[in-house]
Amino acid sequence: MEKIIIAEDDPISRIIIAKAVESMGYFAIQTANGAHALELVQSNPEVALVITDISLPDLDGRDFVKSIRANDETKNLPVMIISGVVSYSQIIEVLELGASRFLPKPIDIREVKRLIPKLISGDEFDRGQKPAGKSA
Amino acid sequence: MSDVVVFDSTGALDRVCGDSDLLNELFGMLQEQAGIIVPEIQELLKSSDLPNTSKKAHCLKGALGNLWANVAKNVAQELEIAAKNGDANKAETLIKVLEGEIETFYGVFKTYQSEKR
Repeated sequence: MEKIIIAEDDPISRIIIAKAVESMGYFAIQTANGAHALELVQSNPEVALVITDISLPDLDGRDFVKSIRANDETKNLPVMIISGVVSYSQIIEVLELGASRFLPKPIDIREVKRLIPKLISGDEFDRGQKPAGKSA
Repeated sequence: MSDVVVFDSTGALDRVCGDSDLLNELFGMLQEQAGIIVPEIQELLKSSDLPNTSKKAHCLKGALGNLWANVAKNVAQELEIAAKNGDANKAETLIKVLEGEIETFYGVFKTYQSEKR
């Protein structure tokens, strides 16, 4: 079963996303902590996608994306960034850093469910990236 | 704001993939969160800490939005903006309005729960 990491410090948002992820047959790994999320990404090669808030208490989502992209093992892992504070400059910034998708809060769960398989299969990448192990 | 519903049960159920038990669980979590954040905001306003008031209002806005508590969410958003703009008087008024709207939402949600049983 493919795993999806959900890094979100707001428990209600985290549970809602996890519910959607599990309803699609994926295994949701939940954490409220950015450093823990990074550790999980690096220690679980079967992780297919990361969904993270842009602002975690211990790690900025932008730094999270940078760390993922800087590691050869995880550099192609799709990352969906979510945020309650949305500006064009913020969206552009996270996409330029290598995030695959940006979604505003409150989460549109239909959009999350639409995007998950596309991001995992590599059909919907804003930056022409393909997930690890499924290169073009 | 008159056409905004206090609680959109269809939207809320949709957000939790139709799982009404989970919705009830999230409602409990929201009550817990709001029970902490609202008094925190009141204390922050007493010490004129508007930047942190804005941050706390932002958290509350997110939690209320997730449960489709639309009216309360909109007031939390107004509070977030007022605090961000340094308008202490407006923020003090809005926290009182927000308390009332959260209580209204609780009432509507509990009615919804009892009707679903």
